[in-house]
Amino acid sequence: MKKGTKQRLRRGTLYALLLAIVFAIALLADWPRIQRAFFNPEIAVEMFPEVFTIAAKNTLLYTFFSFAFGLVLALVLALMKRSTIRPYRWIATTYIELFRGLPALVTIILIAFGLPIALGVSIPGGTLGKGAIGLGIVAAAYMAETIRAGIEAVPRGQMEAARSLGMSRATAMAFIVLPQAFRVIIPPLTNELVLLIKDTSLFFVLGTTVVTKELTKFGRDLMNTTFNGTPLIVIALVYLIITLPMTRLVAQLEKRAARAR
Amino acid sequence: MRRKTNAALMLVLAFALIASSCAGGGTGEYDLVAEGTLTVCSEVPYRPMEFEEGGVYVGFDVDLMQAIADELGLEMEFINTGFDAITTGSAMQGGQCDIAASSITILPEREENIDFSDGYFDAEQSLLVKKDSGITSLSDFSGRTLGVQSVTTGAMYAEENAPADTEIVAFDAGGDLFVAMEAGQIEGILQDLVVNGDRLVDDDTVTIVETYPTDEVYGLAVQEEGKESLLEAVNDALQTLRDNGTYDTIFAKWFG
Repeated sequence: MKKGTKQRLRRGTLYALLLAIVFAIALLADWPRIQRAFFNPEIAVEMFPEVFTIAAKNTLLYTFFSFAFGLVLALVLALMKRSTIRPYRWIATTYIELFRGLPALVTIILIAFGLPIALGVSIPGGTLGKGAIGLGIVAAAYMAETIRAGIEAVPRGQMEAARSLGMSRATAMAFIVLPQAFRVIIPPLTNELVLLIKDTSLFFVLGTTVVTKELTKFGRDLMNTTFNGTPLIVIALVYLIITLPMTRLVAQLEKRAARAR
Repeated sequence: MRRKTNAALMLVLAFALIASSCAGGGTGEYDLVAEGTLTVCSEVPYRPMEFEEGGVYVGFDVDLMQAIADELGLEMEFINTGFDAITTGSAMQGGQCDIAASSITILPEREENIDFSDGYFDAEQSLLVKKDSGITSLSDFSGRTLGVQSVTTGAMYAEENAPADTEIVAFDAGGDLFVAMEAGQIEGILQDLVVNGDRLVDDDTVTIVETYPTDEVYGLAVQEEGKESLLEAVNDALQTLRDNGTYDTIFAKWFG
């Protein structure tokens, strides 16, 4: 058989397979039942405006504070990792390896329940405080490596030139190197932010009141009282409303960064 | 033409996969998910009804289900799922198990998605607090935090009867409540008496200050349609166990 014929044959069968599967699903699925179970307009309407004013608001609030705390901690860790003082490097490496290796849920439980029980230390700020610190600790481990890579991507000559102008190492790092590093790492950091949006769904473990529910818990509780899948579809759409613009933004930023290089 | 054969085979496989996932399968008299075995879903731990000890699940519900399976001439397997998967019926609908035994209070709104057996256990609600908290009743919770398990009868009772400015904090798993109280996140726990009562055995710093008879009973749950023969057999078995004293033996084992 000629190579071209073979290829056409294979593409043809793949198309046929796809069509067959789509047809099979369309024919076999119980559409009215799926509509009742997942697309019930009455239940969906009931969710507004709380799905925005409480659930989405909390998701964004939790994300913002987790990210802010994580970013500051990550910056410190990245600088420690590049320190000339060895123990600093050891601490940073241990931290990063530890919290990259632990599930975020474990870290959040450790902060919220482990610390108070074991040491009598309670982090203030309720769900927001405990959750944001727990999740921020995990996010910091990932972002520290990103920031370090960003700093290393800035040519050494930048630091040397700044030093030769009489700047101290700290000033040069803060005003010359870091701004350039951040330009490189904004896309991966935005990615981390999108991951955090989804990870705030873990905050359910801290216990929730009517006003502290985030999107996932809000949807699940409604599913359990209406016995219907519609709330999950609604919160899925709200998540996409939040995350899609951000992932598109990352793609744009990456394109721009590639052009600038 | 080897390639064509492969593609045809894949097509057949794809169809088979779709067909099997839609049909749900199942064999034998009761249409069980695993032949010869009564597979039971439960949200563990909920001491002393269902919890893990020495690597196996034990508890009142576990013993009762074993006795029912014995009556039906079946093996029994106990698996852990989320409580919401049980009350929505998705654990049974999705073919994870045949029946759920998880201290599920029989409620009319739950019957939209699951079918209940006859009641097998009287459920009462109760309020557990730290002995040194000075709290003596639900009305003391004005301005305080009260822990409940999400979408349970305890949670509903708290929402209806606690003072308006009580902060009611809901947790997914019943087991998390004691941890949260230990961590100082909540000052009291309103949930089923059997579970709060069991806590008194392990922890002498807590006490039950109030109980609330709610005329509610626990039932076993199957999916809404298609398990009628199993449900009937389970109800017969329950009656047999009550008649021949096995039920009382199991009750005495866990509640002395």
